[in-house]
Amino acid sequence: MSSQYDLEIQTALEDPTSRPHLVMGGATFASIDDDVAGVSEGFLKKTSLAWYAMFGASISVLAMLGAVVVYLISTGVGIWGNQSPVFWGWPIVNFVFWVGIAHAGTLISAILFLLKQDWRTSINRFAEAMTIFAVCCAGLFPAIHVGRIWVVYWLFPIPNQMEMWPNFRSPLLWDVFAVSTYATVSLLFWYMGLIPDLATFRDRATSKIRQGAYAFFSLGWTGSSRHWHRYEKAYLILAGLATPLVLSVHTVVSFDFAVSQLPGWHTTIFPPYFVAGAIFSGFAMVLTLMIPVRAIFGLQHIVTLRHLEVVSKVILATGSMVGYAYAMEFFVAWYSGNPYEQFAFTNRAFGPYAWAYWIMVSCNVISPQLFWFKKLRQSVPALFVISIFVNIGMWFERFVITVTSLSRDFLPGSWAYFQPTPFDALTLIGSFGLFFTLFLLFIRFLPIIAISEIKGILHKQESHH
Amino acid sequence: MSHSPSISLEGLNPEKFTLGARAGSLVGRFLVVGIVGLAVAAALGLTGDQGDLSRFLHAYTTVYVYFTSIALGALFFVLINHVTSAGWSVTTRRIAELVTGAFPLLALLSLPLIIAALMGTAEIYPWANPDGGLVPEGVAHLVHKKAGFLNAKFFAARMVLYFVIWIAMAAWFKSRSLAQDLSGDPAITNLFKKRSAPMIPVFALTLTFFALDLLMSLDPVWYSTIFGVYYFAGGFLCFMALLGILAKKFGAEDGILSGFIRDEHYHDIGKLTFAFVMFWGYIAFSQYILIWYANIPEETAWYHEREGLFWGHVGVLFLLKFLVPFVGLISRHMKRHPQRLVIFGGWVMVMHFYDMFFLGMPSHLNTLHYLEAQAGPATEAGKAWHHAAESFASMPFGIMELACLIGIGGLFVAAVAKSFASHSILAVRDPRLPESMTFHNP
Repeated sequence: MSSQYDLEIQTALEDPTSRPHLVMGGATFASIDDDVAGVSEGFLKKTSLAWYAMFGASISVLAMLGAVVVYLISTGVGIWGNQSPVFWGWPIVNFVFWVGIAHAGTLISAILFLLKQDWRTSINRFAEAMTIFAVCCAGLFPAIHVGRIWVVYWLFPIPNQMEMWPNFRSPLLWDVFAVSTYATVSLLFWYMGLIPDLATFRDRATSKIRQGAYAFFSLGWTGSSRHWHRYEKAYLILAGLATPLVLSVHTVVSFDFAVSQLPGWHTTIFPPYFVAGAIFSGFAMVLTLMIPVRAIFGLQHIVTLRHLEVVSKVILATGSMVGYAYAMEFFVAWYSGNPYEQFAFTNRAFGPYAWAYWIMVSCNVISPQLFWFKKLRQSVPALFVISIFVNIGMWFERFVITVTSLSRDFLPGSWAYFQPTPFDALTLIGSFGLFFTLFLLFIRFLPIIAISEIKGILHKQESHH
Repeated sequence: MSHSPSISLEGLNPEKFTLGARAGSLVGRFLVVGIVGLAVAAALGLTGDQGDLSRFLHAYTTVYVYFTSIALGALFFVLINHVTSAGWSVTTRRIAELVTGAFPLLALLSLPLIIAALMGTAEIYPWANPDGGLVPEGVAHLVHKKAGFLNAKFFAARMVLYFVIWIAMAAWFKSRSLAQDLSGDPAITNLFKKRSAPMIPVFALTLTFFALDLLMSLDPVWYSTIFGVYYFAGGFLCFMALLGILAKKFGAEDGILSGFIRDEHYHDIGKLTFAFVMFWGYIAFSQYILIWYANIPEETAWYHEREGLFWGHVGVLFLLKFLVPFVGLISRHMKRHPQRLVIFGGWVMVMHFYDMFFLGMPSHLNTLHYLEAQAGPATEAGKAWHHAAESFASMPFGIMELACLIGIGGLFVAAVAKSFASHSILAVRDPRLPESMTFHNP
């Protein structure tokens, strides 16, 4: 089935006088409704054992995370491997990893919207949902890492009788604002985009409960021209507001490291480099999740091979930016003539963590370079495998940055090799349980493709005939 | 100016869009102006008082990196529009292709700097002559360590390499695009897309090292990993501002591209200008805050020279180059209004020059202060250096800077005008021309 669409795409791409169709297979407004709503409605018609199996597994992992967190709170952060001199171990690595993944959604829905990239309509809903879930996972780590979680509200500047305030000069506090703003705006953006589609679900609902629930969340949407007018205005404004957020969140995350004086952390390219890396990892996660989903639910005519190819190009571009940043860091460490800078980088590449460093380089710099080849950009298995490599590489990038610089600082007497404990691993695995539980619920109950936006580009497609 | 549905895109003649004498008459005039300007600057620099050579070379570098950044911005505009298969930009793309015609001139203008380095002129590049007395003792070992990279011969070789690459890239795009004017072959467009992708990393690396070589190495001790991105952001911003101005010039009622450059194009150019105002502000802020916050002397010294000695540059630059155009261009109305776009475009171009001035010229003052301290403030030589520093600080933009600006600027305008005079300024048979003529911004 998919090969027929692929052939259509191929011929269309070779002709620069016209724009290839984004949605294939002679889709109509009605067929799009059926195809996308059909994903959720399909679960009503037939009990999906596969879904239950996956959901069961995910929620069990989530339960395990709950148990680990309870143990952590009752015992202390000592159950992790965080030890002198590496007091920032996996928790911050996982935090940055998940925040990074959360970047694709808003980039696609805001920046690509402003750039008039219509292809984004097939994947934006999906990526935005992924963004929200990844932010949930990210937010978990600093919260449970504070040690005394019962005073976690001290992170916020709440007036109190002790007149005690958080340190406004600490980038960790900026993080609290950056991430919570990002989570709020992403959620609003996602929810607002969902409203017309929730109304479609409502109108198609066959049971009273379903109808009532979708009616509640679609806020009385009727699709009148006044509704659309306001919707489009709000969408544009939100896109404009969200665009700087795509840059700001990971910039502030990079400040956590870069405002310090630690070689390997303190370098001026960190802000744009972190942002590029975040987009890189976010798009990789989009591919990792989208490839199976489109195959399972027969959405290859909406999320076509062309969409996957474009995503792979974004991965190639952002992966090359990350490679540029690695190279600049290395070159400037040499150029600086500063022995501490030089040591930090030779230690990364050839010291005790060389294995982690070279995993990072192979996954983040070398593997996306394979996307220079059209054959690999258009091979679904290759896309899938490389996207997994990128996910792995980006986790290791944060590991390398965090751990190598801390484990060998200015005082050789305090050097030590970081050893994670099983609880480090269980917390990381558990966060995937949270992510996939939310993700599976999303697939089951919400429109996984932006129906109304797809209809918008179908309209354009037709008018050009 | 507005949408003209009456224009037929069939059989457009490239001759009709060639400026010919209208641009050609500028070539001679600006060539003379440029040569005179440079001659004055060189005469002042080579025969003047103590410190004038340093001032000439610093002013020359400042102006030179300014105009090169515009040509690089134009080249990037061509590359990025091809790699993304952009349709909107087709009626403006030839303008960028023609601006890149200045690269051979810029290559020629790099000679004084290459020669200065090869002659070991420490006044501009202390590393070119590490024992020439302009490297402070405490950091001499650092400069020696860098000699593998910062040495005159390698510097010269790199400069040649950058320009070979840029001239070749620019010439290839221009010649293929002009060939398409005659053949209308869509395969050329596909080839552009294919070739532009691998050229972007090459572009990024050459631009980065160009910025490191000419600007960052003015202070051979200071380093910043974001520096290449900073130079790129400003250069592309400046080119977008220039494109807005040229689009208005050619797209006006009586302009040669009247009807081809529509409000939608102004809007899109305005959006990109606005976006890069933000991007430049973001990069400038990132570099500043990280250095300010960590407060490491090797790094803060560079900013100290730039904010302490005159004008409190950092804040002023941020205010003028970021905040003013940010507020000015934020509304849709401003972007779609060509006259206002031109005003902000001009503002941005001036501010980008101020930015280059901010990067380059404080190094001159630093050199003078250093020489004064070396000679001893009480000695005759020390007093002369002191005098030179005083006179520069009291009027940082003086006759020398003006002469360099007129000199290199005049030659740059002459080169671009020559490029415009002999070629069509519209890609008349680009397969995406109809799209560029009909698209609408939401």
